[in-house]
Amino acid sequence: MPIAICGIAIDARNDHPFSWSFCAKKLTKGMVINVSYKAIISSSIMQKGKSATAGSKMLENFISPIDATVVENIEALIDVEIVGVGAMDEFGVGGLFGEPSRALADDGVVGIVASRDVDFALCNDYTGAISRAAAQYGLCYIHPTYGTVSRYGLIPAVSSIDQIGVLSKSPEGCFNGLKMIAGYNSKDGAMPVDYMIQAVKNDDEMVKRDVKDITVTELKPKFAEVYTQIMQIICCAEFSNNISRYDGVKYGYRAKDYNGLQEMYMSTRTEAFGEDVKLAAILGTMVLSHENYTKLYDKAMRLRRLIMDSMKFDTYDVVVGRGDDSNALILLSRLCGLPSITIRDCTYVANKCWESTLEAVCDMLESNAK
Amino acid sequence: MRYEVVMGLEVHVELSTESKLFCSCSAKFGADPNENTCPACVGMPGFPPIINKRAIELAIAAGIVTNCTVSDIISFDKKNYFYPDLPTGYQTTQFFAPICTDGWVELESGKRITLKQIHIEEDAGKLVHEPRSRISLVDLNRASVPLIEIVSNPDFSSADEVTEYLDKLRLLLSFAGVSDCKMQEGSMRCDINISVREEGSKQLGTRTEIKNMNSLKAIARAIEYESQRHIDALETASEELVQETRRWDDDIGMSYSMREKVGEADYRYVPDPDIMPIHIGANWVESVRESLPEPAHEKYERMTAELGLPVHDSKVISGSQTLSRIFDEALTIAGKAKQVLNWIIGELLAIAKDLNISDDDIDIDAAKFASIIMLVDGGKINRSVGKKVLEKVFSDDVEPEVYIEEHSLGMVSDTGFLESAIREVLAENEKSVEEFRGGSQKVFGFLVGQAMKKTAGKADPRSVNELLRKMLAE
Repeated sequence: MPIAICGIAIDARNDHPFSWSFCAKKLTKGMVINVSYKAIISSSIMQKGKSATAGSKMLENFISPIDATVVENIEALIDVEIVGVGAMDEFGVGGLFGEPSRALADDGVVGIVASRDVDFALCNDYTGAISRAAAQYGLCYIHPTYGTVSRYGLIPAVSSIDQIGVLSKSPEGCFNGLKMIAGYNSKDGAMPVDYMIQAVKNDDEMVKRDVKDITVTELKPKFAEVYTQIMQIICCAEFSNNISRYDGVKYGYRAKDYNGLQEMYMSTRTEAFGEDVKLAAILGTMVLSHENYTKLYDKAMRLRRLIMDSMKFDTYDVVVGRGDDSNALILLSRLCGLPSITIRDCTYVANKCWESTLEAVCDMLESNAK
Repeated sequence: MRYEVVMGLEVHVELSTESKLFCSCSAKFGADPNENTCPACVGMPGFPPIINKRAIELAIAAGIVTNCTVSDIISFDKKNYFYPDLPTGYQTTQFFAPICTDGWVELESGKRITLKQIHIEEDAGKLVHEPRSRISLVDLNRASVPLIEIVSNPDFSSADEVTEYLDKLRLLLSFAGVSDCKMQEGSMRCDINISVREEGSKQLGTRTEIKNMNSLKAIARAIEYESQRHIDALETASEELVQETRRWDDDIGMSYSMREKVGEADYRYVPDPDIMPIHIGANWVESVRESLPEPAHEKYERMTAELGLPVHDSKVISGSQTLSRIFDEALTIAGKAKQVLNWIIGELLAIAKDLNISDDDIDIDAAKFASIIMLVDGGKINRSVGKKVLEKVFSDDVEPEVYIEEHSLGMVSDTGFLESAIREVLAENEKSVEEFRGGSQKVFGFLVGQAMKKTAGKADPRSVNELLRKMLAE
């Protein structure tokens, strides 16, 4: 397999890390930001009193009882408005097996940002398919560090990857959107509290640093040839767990005709789930089954750990890849919970919580490119 | 052929937390169906679990009192199965890294029952079937209420050992505030793994698991039945023993198979990515250890050795967390350990027994209880009035002083009033007075009773006694 430029490592090291500073820089409630923004959210983000379907017939009648934290954050800002909800593929899982066709449609999140007067969209691109589609449409998508944006009110798909990110026409749009939604929130138990508190303390020191003395080396990420398989195993497994709550008992769709409990479950799920969801659920239960757990799921998790450990960011700060490498880096950031931004056919990945560095590097490289 | 029974226990104990394991809904027993639910515990999407810190502390406490090693880092896992009382389609439990391991509980004989582990998990809701309308209803009040499961090694060889262990466990855990451990309310539940083998054999026999026993007596009966069923099967080959789960029916005194499908269930255990691993650390364990109240056996020691109280009564008090608490609180206020003990054993337990309330369910304000003891001790009311007031406090939680005042139950020590009352009695019962003077002691008691009645029970019986004797002698 020819690896042309498999990642350029850019050393833009500063004296001390910006860790989490980015999140704490979050815009505060009621703040006037002078530029007016129009935002949309994907249908897996819950708005109180409104329907939240995540693109599934299963949730066609589901009305959210709460506002997601990201919705609260946006609504607290003057001059930023949520103008609509963008369509998505059922629970976003289609991206594991192909193109996100629903998201690309005229009323889909990608379609809307690409063709209408909307500044950014909030959505959960856990499979990386939105980022790849964004590249085709000349858009940008930032996937923040795992745990920096609250998932309270996000309909879950793959809990260890789920992370609301920002789709926009430009990198600035992505970073501005992210500043509005990132930050610690006690309603999401997977947010690392200690780092967050530290970040808030250092709030004053937080300024975007200039990037100086860039050096470039080549980097070959470990196990890149099996990223797709690892992603599929882990995503299907967790996905099958997360959709097992949809049984027609408490809320959501329930089949009209059934005889007994087993049949109610079967008919409800047969009628309300689409093909991709069924495929992912079946693969997920398979990889978690007693006979396959060690062979498939556990092995995928061990590889994921090895990949995480191999991304040391010791002699480099940002990894860049173009084309196929860009696609590999998108998956790498999902597997490792690293922040990444895809700008057209390039993806940049930084260490956990180094969104500020990512922003600085993007600024410089993009302005040089112009 | 001689056989021996080998048993291991899985005990589920509901933790005494205010709220549920992952949300702020009340974990209290006895609410209306689905009253204690919120979007999170009915399994709606979009509510990441936030773990209840108190549940972890109580599980640490359970580990400390059962001599377990508390793990440094714990994590949670998902156990997958579909049932309408399980809102998310998976139960959050600890499969790979339980909170406590390798403990023991010592029986009277000195034998130690060793524990494999204690893990935290969430309870499920319950289904209510309405046979007439052929519908089933789901009540999710218990869904996500925190439990611990205490898993023993197969160390038991008799029903007596099992019941003694469960009683020990109840004492240890209720005194540590981990749980109220009420079997009848389901806050303590027990599954028994049982097998039978030839005496002396090293090999374990086919094992069955029995569920659904809600009293110690039912457990003893179930063990008796199930071990006999195993022996019969081995001796007569009347049936083939299979590894299975069986349900105990205490009304008919039989166990029957719960198996619905062939093959063992595959729960697809998987680490829960929504709950970060939790670092416990020695400091946390120490702070829980320091906050633990006096355990039952130390209380017993203190009562007998330090306070010099009788062995039997001390055992009764230290055998119940509730009685121990009432004893300690009343003792602090009223002093006089002996008096407090007698009032609990003699009066409080009698009232509870009449109302069919078990020791642990006695719900009385210890301060009011203490004030009654002090009023009697100080001669403000007599003992029988004290008992009446106690009944009132027990049933209606009245304020003793106010109640005594309102019903003018204060002791009458006014000699003039007593004298006139006794004079009336003597005048009304001339025949009895003559009998007494004729040498019959029996009628004396009768006359005392009449005099007490005249004073509406408020007189001090001793004064009545003295005065009556004096006046009869006149």
